[in-house]
Amino acid sequence: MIAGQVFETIPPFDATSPPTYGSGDFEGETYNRVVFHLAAPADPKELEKWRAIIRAVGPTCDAQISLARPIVGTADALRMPTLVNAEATYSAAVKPVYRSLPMVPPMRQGAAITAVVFTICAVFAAALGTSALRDARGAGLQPDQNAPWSLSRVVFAWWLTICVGCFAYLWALMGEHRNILSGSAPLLLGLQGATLLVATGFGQGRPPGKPSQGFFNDLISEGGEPEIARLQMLVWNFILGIVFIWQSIFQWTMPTFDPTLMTLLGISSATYVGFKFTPKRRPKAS
Amino acid sequence: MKRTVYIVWGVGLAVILVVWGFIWMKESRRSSDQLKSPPNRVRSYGQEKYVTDIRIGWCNNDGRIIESNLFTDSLTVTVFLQNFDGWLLSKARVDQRLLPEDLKPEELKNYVSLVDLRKSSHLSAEQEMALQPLQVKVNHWMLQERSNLR
Repeated sequence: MIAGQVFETIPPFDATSPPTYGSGDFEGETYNRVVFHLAAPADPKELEKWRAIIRAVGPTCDAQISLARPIVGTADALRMPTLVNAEATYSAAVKPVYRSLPMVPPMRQGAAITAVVFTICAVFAAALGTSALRDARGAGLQPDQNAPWSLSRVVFAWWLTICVGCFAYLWALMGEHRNILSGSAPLLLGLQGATLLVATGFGQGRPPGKPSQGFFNDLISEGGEPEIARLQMLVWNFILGIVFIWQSIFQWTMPTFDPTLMTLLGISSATYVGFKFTPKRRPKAS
Repeated sequence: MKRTVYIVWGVGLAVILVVWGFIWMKESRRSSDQLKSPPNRVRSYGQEKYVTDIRIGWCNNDGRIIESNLFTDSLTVTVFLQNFDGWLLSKARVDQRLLPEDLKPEELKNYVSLVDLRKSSHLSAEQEMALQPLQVKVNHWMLQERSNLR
């Protein structure tokens, strides 16, 4: 029983060792040893309880840890008083013991961070070391010039990093992969993938591009001129990405964006693609 | 460009090493705290109701870790129960839902009175004979009940 929650599906795996008997001051006392393997339960109800505790206390639990004997056929359980992290003592002569219980094994904590850092490094290395996130190289570019950054590719890489990183992080910390990926993650990747596909398709017939003018300038510019359609797409994806990361880290669950937000993101991408079609007929400023 | 890629991976590796170092430090502090002290054993002064200690790892009766697996997916916890038998007997007398099918409430009452009698004076041969089968049932029940704990 952790933090008041009884996990009925986690039985002890070694409860058969013979008791030891106290001697001297402890004459008449018996001691039994019971060993548990704590892992995320398979039962969905218990899994949610487990997650709720981890969300509330983090990877290390200082809440009261005790034992309970569930009563079969009822929701009732007989709770054993405990001296571990107890607030009250039952007798003036005894003292509570304070123990921090790591809810997440240390190896998994390390694996979670490794997975996230690896994902980020892989995307950064691909972005800086290859032309994976840049537009196709036009014929007019000099050998020492780089093709501009592609907004649709960068946004796709942004969501790919977030989804893969958050999934690896939550999988490693929770110790299970079920119900980790929210419905929004595949939708987001699908939406950005489709935007990338359409944008790349329409970009092929266009005249050779200009060289890169810097990361941010490239992202908000079309044909060397800043476009509000690109800026709005960048801003929306950035904000929703931060919300996604925030909820994954602090709520230990991937967010499910409501249909309105997904529609908004869809409109944002559609506007960006639509502006790619539109011929530029801007009057020159006098 | 290659240099930048190396820098990215280098920084990533450094972050990973720092995080692992921090986790290792935290764990070694926790396990050294645990190693320094034997399981917390206290007199229950007849209250018979304490879980005396909980230890991280698979420990023996002295609180020493006897088996560990760094790559396990779960966390092993050893719980030391104090006077579990006394606690269970007192609870079962009040709440009969705890009793197994083969142990009737009257048998439990009889068992408790015989044990009390043995503590205060000697049992007659007949009483000893009556206690023995009850003791077997109670021992079996205790073992079962430890497996029922959660």
